[in-house]
Amino acid sequence: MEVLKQFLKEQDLPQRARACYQCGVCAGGCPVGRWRSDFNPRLFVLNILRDDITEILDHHSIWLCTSCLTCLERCPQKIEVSEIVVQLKNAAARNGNAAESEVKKHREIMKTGWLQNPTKRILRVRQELGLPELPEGIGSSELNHMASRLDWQEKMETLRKRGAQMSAGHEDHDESKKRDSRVD
Amino acid sequence: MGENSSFTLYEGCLIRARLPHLEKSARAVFDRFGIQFSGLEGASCCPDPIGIRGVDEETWLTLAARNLAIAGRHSTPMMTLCSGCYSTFRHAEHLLAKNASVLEKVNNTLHALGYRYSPGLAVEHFARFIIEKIGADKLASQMTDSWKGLPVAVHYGCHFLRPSHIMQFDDPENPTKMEALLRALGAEALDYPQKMLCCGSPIQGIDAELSLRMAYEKLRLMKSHGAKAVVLICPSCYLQFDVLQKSMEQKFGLSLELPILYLTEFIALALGVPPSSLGLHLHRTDTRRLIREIFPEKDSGD
Amino acid sequence: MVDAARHPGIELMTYSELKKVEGYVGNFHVTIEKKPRYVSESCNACDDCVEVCPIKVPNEFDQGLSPRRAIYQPFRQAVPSTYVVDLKNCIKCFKCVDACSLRAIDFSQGIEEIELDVGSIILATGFEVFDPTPLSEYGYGRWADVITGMDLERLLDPSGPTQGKLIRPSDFSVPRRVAFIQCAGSRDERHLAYCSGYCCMASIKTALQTREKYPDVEIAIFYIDIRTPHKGYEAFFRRARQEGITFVRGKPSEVIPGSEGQGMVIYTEDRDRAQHLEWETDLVVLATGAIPSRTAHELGSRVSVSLDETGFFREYHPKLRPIDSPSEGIYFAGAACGPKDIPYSVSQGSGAAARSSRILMNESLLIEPIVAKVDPSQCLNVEKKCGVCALRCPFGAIATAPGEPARVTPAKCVGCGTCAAECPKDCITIYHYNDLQIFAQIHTLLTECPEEKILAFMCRWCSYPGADNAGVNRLEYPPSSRGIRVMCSGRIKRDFVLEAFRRGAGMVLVSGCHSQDCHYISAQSHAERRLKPLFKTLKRMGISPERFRMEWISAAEGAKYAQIITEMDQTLKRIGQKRIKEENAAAHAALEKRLSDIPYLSYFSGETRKRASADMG
Repeated sequence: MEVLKQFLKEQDLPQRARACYQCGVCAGGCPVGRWRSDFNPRLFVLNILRDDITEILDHHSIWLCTSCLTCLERCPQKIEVSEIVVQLKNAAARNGNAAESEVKKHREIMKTGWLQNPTKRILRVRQELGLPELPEGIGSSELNHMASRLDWQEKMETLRKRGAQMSAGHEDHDESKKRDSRVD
Repeated sequence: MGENSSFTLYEGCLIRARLPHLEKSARAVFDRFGIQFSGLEGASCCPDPIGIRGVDEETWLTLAARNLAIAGRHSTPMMTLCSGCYSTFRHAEHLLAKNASVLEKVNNTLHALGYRYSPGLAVEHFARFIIEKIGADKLASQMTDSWKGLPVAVHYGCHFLRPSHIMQFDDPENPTKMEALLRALGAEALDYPQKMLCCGSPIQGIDAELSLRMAYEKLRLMKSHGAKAVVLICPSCYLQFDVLQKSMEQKFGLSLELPILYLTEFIALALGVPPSSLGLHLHRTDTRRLIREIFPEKDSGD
Repeated sequence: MVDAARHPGIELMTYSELKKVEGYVGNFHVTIEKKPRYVSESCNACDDCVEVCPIKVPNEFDQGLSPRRAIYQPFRQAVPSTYVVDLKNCIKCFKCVDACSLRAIDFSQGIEEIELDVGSIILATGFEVFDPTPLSEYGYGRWADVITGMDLERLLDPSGPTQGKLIRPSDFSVPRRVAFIQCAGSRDERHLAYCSGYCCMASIKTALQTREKYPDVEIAIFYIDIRTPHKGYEAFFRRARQEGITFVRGKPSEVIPGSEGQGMVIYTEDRDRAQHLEWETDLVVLATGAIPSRTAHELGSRVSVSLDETGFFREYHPKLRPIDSPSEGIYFAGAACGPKDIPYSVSQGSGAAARSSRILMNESLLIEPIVAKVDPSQCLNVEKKCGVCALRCPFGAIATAPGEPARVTPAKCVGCGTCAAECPKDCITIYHYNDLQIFAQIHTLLTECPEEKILAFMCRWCSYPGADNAGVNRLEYPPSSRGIRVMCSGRIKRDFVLEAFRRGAGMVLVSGCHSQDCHYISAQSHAERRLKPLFKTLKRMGISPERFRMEWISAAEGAKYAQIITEMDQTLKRIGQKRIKEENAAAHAALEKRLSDIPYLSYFSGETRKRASADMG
């Protein structure tokens, strides 16, 4: 909680949101909001203006933002709505509520430095295509240094403890079954 | 742009781990114009500007700064093959340049590893480089195989032009620069509505159905306006449109049959690069029928 | 317009431009360039020439929605009704000349220059409508059925391009559904940050007109806020709702063509229901705001009138003198200094006429005696090109001709003192606030125990009344300050501050208006820029820069003044008399050297004073 409070203070979201006059241009053009009524960027900002973001920090919908930046482009008050959403996501994560898939990405980076790594098959295909060998990636000692300086362990613990379950609108959807359907 | 320019190549996670054919086409095109690439040792994921930044912005900024610091040690500028990576590098630089205390914090972390990041490293996006520094005219002059008026829809993606105050490249609502390239290579660049709509890729893991819906919406719009192929510049969008096209067709019932081509694949084919050398068989959505139709005399690598 | 043309007291000069303005209030000498119409006054508007002209170009008055010929009448009610030849598009086939039975077309006409002596000038350059093409998300210019409010006005006008029939530009059919988008490009930090104030009423009006003509058309207005502040406006808004015009609270995000190219679709959030809406319509009308006339800027520079941050003319004071320009004798009417609707424009026009008549009715005009005068024998501009005074003068009151001394026009001068303070030769005197008077005050106030004192320079309009405000409100602050009032902080020379330190002042305060409130427009900004280097100068001389402060205090900020003096007094005590005296001694030589060329400082040396008091017995 303290970490969260500290973070919110540093980010000063109210200041960033203040110029908003709730015109709704962000919501009107949002490609996600178009399909999902629980995702409304204007309401996210309104909740900040009303000093009431507890629901956002607990609810899963903030994670539906794809950062397409359409709202940022169109906002007549130059509020940078999508940037505020990023901070709300960060705050939600510090509150122990992060989308499981995003947490998995983070874990993978902690382990190898990449979101995913080439399989033997891919390496073979590279050879067949005449591509040069891939350069070495970040070493494990550097990764460990990053992990300790950026408190990765602690952050992951917070998320694990809260056991946040991400639901795609279906409460009984088994989270562990959810994976990137585009993976081979 | 002088001949024989050199760049440090940053492929990004997706191309590196799963889409080698996209890298192949990029190398094939740049080779034609005397551009050489060297590898970037010790790099990591850029990192992902949505997934990683969403969980912890500090991690995102630090890893980005580290990659930039490593790239900065090379004498050549860096070029990325992925809009997501481009977005990370440009946006992270913008934020770090604006906020001295955050920059200091990041550099403190990097210091023990022997890195120091200073804003100002030139990072190129492969498509932007082609448009700005090579240009439609030069491409046309090297063209050996026209696309013969094929109606093609361009998908710019979200992170190539936005945020426009940072990218400052083309109109973020109604861009036209890539269309000019396509036309120079003989294709008919389609004008279709809502061409800047997001493909939905970043929320694949969060709400697969919604993500698919968003991708389907784009392909449906393109198809209904007569597109016979799609050209794009981001591997994340590529995954949505190419790998998941079959799922879309099954779920929403519309037959799409839209070959998805990376810009460099599109250009390479017009420059006479043999299709069989480009690994087109690695596409999940069939491209070979299109190749046979437009370039009948070529070996499509069946 | 016809009344204005017929009025015996008004001479209407159309197709003319104000090219040069010389002189000052009551005595302006203006040069007007009358452009040739190539058609004489004997034209009877029969249209014979129009019929034979082979050139067709878009008609500007009809927003490009209808064509006109190269010889044309701007619109049917134009005054005068004489035609004009558009030389840019005319191919000089002279068919019109042949067709005109009155021989009224004369291509030999040339530019006529007219010089006039006038007492006052009223700028009524109006406004233009913002072109929403940059709003790519709305597609004006890309989709035919997206039009502006002004386009709609022309379409509904019985003398317009369609004789008042409302049609969709794409297929000329009558739309079944019309949608208005308010604030297109207005209240928008990316385009026009301000609200133009008339667009809500304009849209409601055209919506009701449309409703009257086409009772079955569905009309919706999309808005952020509906602004209907003036007499009868709110009732008008209520009537619109009662007539079945739908008001949707929510600013549309984008406009795209409908499926199969039928109609348009507006993507918006219906804020009141927090629902994403895809509103189908046949015609989209963008309500756009006002921008300054494109030639206004140029005209302004000819009359030394500056622009504000929106590009409209800057009035003397937006609340207290909204009709006057900073230059005496030049007034504004209508939207020249900001968007206005009709009642406001009419009021302002009457006001401008009244302001003018007070000049025209009188034999002479009383002006303030606080004006500047250049000593021609010292003026640098004679030998070497200078002109700093003319450049800095916020009122354009100084003229510099090559090889001649600068000359101040007293009627234009308001006495801010900027020229005097900026003059590199110190050869400009400000009557009633001259250097001798100010140095005398500095000396007198610092006669006894100067090191214990804070010498404060204050301006007549803001910081002095601010200090007074502190007194009136019985706010307490230490008694160490001594004040010198000048008309404007712009009057303050660096030498005044340095002299104060040479005389041993403990602390010096320069105060004046906040930059946006300066009574003399930019004089305070010049002062701030000019005096800022003093911090470094003093430090170099050995005086702690914290002994000098510059603060901007408004007339209402008595508390701020008290606070500043309190802080300065604390600093004074903290530094201590000993150190102050040491610093002053250390800096003395440098200060003496720096101020050695000021002749009358010697008047105030100790000896002279003793002698003077001895003389007085």
